[in-house]
Amino acid sequence: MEDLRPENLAYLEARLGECRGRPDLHKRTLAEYQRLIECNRNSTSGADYIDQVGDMFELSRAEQLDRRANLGALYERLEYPEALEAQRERYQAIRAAKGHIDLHEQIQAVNQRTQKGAGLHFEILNQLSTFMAVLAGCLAEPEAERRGRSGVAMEEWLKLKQLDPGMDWNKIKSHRMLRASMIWDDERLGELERFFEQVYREFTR
Amino acid sequence: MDAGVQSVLDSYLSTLETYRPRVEPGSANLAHADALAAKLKALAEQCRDAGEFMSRDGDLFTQFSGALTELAKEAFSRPTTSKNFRLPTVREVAYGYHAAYDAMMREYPGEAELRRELGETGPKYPEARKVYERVFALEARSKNAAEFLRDLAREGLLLAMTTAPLREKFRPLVAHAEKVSQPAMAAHNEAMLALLDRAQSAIELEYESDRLVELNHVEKLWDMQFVTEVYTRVGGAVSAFLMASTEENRARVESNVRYVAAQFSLAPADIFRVPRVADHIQRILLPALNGQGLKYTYESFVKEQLDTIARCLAKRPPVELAPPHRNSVVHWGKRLPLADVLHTVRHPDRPADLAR
Repeated sequence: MEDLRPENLAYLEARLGECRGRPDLHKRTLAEYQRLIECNRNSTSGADYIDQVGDMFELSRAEQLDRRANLGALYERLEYPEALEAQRERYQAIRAAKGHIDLHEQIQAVNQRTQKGAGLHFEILNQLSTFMAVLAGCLAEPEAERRGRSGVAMEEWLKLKQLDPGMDWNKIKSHRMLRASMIWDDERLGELERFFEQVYREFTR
Repeated sequence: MDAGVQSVLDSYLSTLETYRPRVEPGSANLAHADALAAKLKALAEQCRDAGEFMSRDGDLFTQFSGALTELAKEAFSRPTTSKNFRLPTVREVAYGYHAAYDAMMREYPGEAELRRELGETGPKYPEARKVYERVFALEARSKNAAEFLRDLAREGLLLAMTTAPLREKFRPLVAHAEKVSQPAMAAHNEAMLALLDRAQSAIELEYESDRLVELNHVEKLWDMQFVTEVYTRVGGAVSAFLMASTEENRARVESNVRYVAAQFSLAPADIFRVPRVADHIQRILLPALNGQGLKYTYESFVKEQLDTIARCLAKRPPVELAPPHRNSVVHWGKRLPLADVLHTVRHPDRPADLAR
């Protein structure tokens, strides 16, 4: 068997270098490259090296785990619990994978299973935007048209609640990304809230 | 045999050879794959080109792919050791790069028109082409896959094969987004270009792209809300009144103008002095209107809008402006004068803890 350890070592060192620019994003991958480099250096022959590192499945898994962990940490900062949960589930499935083929199949299966949660925040943000446009529109239009438009605002609110049962005005006012999607300061958002309370009372009487 | 047919056949057969040493010689999966491989070879002999080869008996290809999957499962269920290890050939490693290159360089329906619209002239992806040419040169000179992969990694080509075509795709999109009054998209496209220059690994590139998409999503919604709240409703009411000067439509103009004055401390003439509003009118509304044969300039359009508003408010109580602090909005938690909105959306000042 041809001994290609020098070529492989140079390859591993170059790949390790790619991860060093952002070590925070490559924790598991960096560790795995370092382990492979150690194996390469300490092995006694090409065959011994292959016997130690096998098909390098751990490297593929480490890369996938880093991807999920990175996104999980992002969604935690962005306060998107459903997306965070989807990444956690993906992380667990990848961690449990037993080999390259299993890893591939697990990723496909878990991605499909968690697809809804992973993208739910986009739907919530879009629906909040629609709701706020209709609600503010009620105040912009003549009094005579307000009743009909309030009905539409109520419908949009119910759609928002369907997407996020935990949605309320406290969340609208305090969630960093929901707030970041809106132009209002506290004063004007408070006015919209009070107006919606009237609308809500009217439609739930 | 035709070279194209040979190439497709080789790629399938070499995958089979990768798995052969990793399963027992008497493996049922291997025997099945070998039998199908013999049929593939026979079919290849009868075909004139790769297209005919791949389409004449689609079922055989499906069966062979299925057999390879089963074989792969069996192969990977056993640990790799020096006894069953087989280094892939240079050609096998490079096969995917050739496939990616061919797919990238293919001309897709409507693509030429789109490129012309974006101001792209000359051949497609000149930079990516250079990257791939270098990859193929290394392929040609490499004695084995380990050497090939070493040089690809050393020269940063593994990532460059992804970043080079993306850079060329995003570059014209900055100006295009500005042209259609999408400053948040222009900012995003610019941030993506900077990322493509900065990223050193696929993991970094993927994570940072996702992060940028998340931030951009809320910024686009913010921008859309701004334009709607400050101008679109007023503009819509004015258009409706110009088409049908009814009391109902007049009342809508009046109500919307009073709303903007109360929300943003903007008198009608001031609405059109907000740079974000002017950008929207100049880059979206006027091209659309003038495309229908009208001949508006920005000044004539604004004059018509203001004259109409004045007509709708004649003999009505004066419009009351809100206190001056309302001449502002909040962007990423910071108060922003309306006059600064266009610049800020184009160059967003994001929270430090979301900057990476």
